[in-house]
Amino acid sequence: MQRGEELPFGIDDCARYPVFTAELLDLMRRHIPRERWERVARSATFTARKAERQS
Amino acid sequence: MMRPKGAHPAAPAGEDLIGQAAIKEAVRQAYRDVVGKGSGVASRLYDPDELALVPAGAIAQALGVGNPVRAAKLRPEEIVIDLGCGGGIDTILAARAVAPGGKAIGLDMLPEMLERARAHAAEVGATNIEWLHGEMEAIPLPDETADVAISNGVVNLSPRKSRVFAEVHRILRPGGRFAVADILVDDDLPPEVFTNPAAWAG
Repeated sequence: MQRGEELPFGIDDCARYPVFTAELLDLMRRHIPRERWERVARSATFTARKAERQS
Repeated sequence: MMRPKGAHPAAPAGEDLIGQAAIKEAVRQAYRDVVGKGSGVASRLYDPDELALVPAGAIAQALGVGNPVRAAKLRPEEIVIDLGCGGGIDTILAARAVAPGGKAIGLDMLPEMLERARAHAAEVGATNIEWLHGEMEAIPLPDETADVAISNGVVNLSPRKSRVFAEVHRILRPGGRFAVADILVDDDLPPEVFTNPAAWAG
């Protein structure tokens, strides 16, 4: 397995996605400490390979 | 018994959202609600030369979190399946990358998303794409169908992630590749956020 690009996801990044409702964003801002707002999560890309068939 | 404030209507009163059916319905409804809505995330994830290959509608409706097409290093003649294709941006890019001779398959659980994606592909004349209605926990394809599987911010939505990985393994040919971009949370989220039904779709 190979690890690829990573991107930080803050609350403002989440707000770009319409699936993050105003209610959820408000909840996040009220309950997540301000020092974590810029990095609530991260996105990561991985590539895995299925084993070749054994002969 | 009263339903907790904010609980999804699909969640039985008095119970949490651990029920897989409730989670899936919450996700399905959240994505149904955003069909056709813009996100503005594409410029963060794709290079300008990639964005030049897809129509504005697909760019506007990008809901991914990374660029699995780039990571997959696709080659002509390969067959690639895009799990949860949404508006089709990755499927269209993948179709370009596997041409000539290859094919992209866009899989989505929402027919209305597939219709959007199909229209976007038609707009740029991408004909080597097959659109498939179904769920990633039960991919409607025979064993060893694809050379590559990609997913972009989709596996996290499944209440049965191990089932998704098993399905990807089943449909990949020996030596096949799976490029997955997804969200990771390193620290616990507060329970008020984590248990909110909307968080399952975000």
